[in-house]
Amino acid sequence: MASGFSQVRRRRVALALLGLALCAGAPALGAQTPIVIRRAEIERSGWNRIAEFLEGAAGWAVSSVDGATFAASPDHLPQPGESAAGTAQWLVFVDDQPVQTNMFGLHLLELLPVTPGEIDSVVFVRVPAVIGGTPAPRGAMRIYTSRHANGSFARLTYEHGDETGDPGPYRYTTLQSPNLEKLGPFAHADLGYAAPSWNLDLGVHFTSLNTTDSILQSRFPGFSSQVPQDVMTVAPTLRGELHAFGRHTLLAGYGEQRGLLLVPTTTREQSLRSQATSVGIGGALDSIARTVIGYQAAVWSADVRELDSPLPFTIGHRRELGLASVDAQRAFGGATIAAGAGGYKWRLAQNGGTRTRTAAREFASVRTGGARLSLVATGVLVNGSRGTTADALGSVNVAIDTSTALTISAATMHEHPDIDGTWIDAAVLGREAQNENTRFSIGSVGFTRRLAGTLAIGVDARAEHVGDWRLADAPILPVTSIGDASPLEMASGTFAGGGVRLESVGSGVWQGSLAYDRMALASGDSSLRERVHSSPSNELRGQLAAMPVRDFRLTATVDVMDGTAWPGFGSDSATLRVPAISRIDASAEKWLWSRRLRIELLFQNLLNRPERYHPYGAQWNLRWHLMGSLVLPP
Amino acid sequence: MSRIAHGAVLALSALLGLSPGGSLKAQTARPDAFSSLTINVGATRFQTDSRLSRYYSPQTGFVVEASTPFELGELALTGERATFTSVGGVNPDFHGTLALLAWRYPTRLFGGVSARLGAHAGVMQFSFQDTLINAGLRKERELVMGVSGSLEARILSRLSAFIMGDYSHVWLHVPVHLARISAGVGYTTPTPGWLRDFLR
Repeated sequence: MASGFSQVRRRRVALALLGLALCAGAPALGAQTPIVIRRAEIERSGWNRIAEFLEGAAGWAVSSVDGATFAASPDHLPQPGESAAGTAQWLVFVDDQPVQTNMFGLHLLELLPVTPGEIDSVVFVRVPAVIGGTPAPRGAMRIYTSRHANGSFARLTYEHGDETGDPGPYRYTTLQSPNLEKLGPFAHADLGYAAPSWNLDLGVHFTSLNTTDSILQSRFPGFSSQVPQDVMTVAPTLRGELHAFGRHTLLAGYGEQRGLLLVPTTTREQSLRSQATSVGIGGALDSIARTVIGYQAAVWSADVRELDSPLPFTIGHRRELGLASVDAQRAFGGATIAAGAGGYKWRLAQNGGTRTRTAAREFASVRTGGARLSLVATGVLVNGSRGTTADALGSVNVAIDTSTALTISAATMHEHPDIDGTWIDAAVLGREAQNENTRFSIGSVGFTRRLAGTLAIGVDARAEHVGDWRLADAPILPVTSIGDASPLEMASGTFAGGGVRLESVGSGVWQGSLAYDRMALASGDSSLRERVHSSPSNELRGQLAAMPVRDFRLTATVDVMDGTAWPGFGSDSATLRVPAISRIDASAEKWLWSRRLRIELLFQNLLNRPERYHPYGAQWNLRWHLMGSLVLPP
Repeated sequence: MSRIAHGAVLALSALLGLSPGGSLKAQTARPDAFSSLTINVGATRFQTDSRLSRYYSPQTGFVVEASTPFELGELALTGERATFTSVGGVNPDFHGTLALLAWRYPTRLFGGVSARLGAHAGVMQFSFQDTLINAGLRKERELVMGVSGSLEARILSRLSAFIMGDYSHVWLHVPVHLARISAGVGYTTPTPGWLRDFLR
């Protein structure tokens, strides 16, 4: 009631969280303070772009040049551009189906086959994990969709914003300044029908963001008017669910992004159009002889082509993926055993030639123990173009009492460029690694406790050793696709850190969360030590919301993070620094028409302090957004 | 935690004169939310800060406002417009139009006289009378935030007179500060049922 968080949605979140803890499809998650973004937080934060959800992932070290396309480093390794193209990336899952978003270390999240309005919750996994049999050595963003009540339904959201700092009447005086453009519109709509045994949701998602910030435009001296003035995405989507002989989910989408894209390792923008097409099915069959069979299959492609501009275009290519997997789970006495296998085929088409890399992976997992003490062990074998690698994860969960739990976990995993497709990033730029053997070894301890039924607290500590991480070269200018035989510089280091998260539970007048995360390089090679400051070490995020009267909510959010330093991004390979961020947001929401319509007024960066997420990135002033969200029936 | 939250709710309730409880229902002396609609019209006079006044001089404009009781205080949608003429005719004139969402807390003073204090946020649109520049650049909108206070006197059962003072900060690159004083008359009517249902 308090948050537009229906019973259906609550049940779904509870199931998702239960699944995180128990299901064989996600047999191995390390000890960590879970970051769960629920629908209420999505609404009160005013997030109508999927990339904005990353703001809620405290400690994920997010960077962005234009505010449209984001990178993140959950383990605080150097950001794309400081790390080489083709290094491992965090993964994205929608309803446990793997979906592709990576492009040169950036994530094109608006092209996902799901609209923001369909999303019920997002779980950020920041430690190495195996999800549905898929190894995710740098963590994952797990998106869960909502299921509407039976009957036909429609949802429509429109948001428009503006950044302060226009010249106003001073444009005609000596106090003139550059004009700042609008933010948005950001809009998404869904139309669908839900029956007891099936539901279908047809959606479309649109975003537009100007790239006329003076810092961005200053990178195109003399021809700034000839490069795209905005980044635009549009993505029609189709999602279906069938409950017959089990549960089956279809996700399909076509997404297009047009505009400038900074290719991190080249430190140069490209004017391009990316078109991504995806179709995926997944699900689980009804239990047969106490055995549950799960399956997934997907095809995905992305086509990157030039938009007319004076910028030399060098990264045109097409990348395709086909994948299929199957797994089975069965209980044997006090233990549950799961095992599965999957195959991946990546194809790169560039400059008239094609290349293919395939991989197979097999996993097995066992969960044993009781309510007080449980043990989960998982092993994964990946057979790719560079041979076979073995990953292992194990965790022990101790329920100290009914509201307190302790988890101790350890994992060792490799990068898997033939599974996440990151080898294509390096191949397109003509800078492929001679060895792909980065290894992540982590130990973590997590403690969770629920206090008085209204507050949950989680604390974790982590130590992670990363071996043979590849660092970026000095930029090759102009960008060429000529292969370079010299090896990339590799570095190793050990990170240590932890986090604490407090979160309100239930549906009281007051809701909120407070999260602090710290991750820093404890020891390591000097080259890694130099570049690791491109990811902030400390981040604090807090949000407090209240519903003082019926159908009216006020929210305040604070976000504080370290400044960053980017060696090599300045002229003559100098280090560019980005100031620390201290940001306060505030929003007011009013539900109208018996909760069919929600109007929200959101202010971001109320302190009007410097806010940048990349050395080449736009400077964001105080800004406001006005949005309306219609849900029929409510 | 629950005791702290409950205490905070009680304190907020006491501060705002509301009865505590889940819905924080207003006391009986307070009109029901969205029960009435007041339309104010009047004249408004802007005063700019000294920096802008070197370049522009505002003319008398007008204000139109619709307000309604809220669960807590009252909400108003305000539109104001005035022409700003260039000092010395050096620069193009512009029409300044404000569209504001305001929240105010009313207090009855004596008889039919009441006072209101509150805050507002919205946008100010600058419509430049400049035919030489690109048509897309002739209008510019910027965020406005400010505070306001007013006195209202009941004249007849539904007719009232008001005088209102506002102070606003316009978040331009070179900030502009505007003070405004407005006066006019208001008409109060029960909110039409369809509108009341919509607002709820």
